[in-house]
Amino acid sequence: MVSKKATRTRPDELTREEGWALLDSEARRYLDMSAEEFTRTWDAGGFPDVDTPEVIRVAALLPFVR
Amino acid sequence: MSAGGYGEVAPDHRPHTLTLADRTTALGGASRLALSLDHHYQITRAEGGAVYRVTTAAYFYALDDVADPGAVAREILAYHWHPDVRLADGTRIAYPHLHINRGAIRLDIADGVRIAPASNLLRADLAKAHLPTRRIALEDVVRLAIEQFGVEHLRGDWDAALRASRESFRRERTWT
Repeated sequence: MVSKKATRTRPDELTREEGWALLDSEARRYLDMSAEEFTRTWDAGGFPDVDTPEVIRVAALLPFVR
Repeated sequence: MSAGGYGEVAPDHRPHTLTLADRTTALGGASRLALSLDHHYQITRAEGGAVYRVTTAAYFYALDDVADPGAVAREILAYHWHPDVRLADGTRIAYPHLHINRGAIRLDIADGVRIAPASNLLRADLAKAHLPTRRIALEDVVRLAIEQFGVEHLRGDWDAALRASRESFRRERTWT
């Protein structure tokens, strides 16, 4: 409906490993850190501002790895 | 893409999540927008019941400015509801809210004052604000993109399709 790309009706399901790879890719893209570093910092409450586009877009992927 | 499949989980279990394969998807039209969505959900069943229920656990819907294809997308606005996310000060924003972000500033203005597109020209309080909203459905964001941002629709029955889907959501939701 909104994508220029071909649409599919059923989503791909990611494995835990694929979820880690996605989280790692997005953490590097938005925050220049690895997935491990992101999860460690997130769990420790180490982000001074959580609700920024960069942090929250990576955090939204946490269910892929947990 | 989804994680955790489609199986039933306990209400306190971590949710499944659904996102776009590219995380952000370019939308057609002159306004050069992209849609980002992450939707967390749980599949539950009343004790002894046969009816399953899909319940939203959190949502993150955003429209980005992708006017400069070589640059990092700039978020214009984002509708969020993430009651379990704890902010740095330990508080939670439990209500649905709207963020306005640096993508709301025209790039030509940023260029005119020689400020990098990644800079945030918004008032600091607005840039951090969680503007209260009602519960927002994905259909609301798609309609917003089409009707108010000039995004091209790809099917002739988009209006009826959105209405039907939105009505189904309205019937089944347990909070607004």
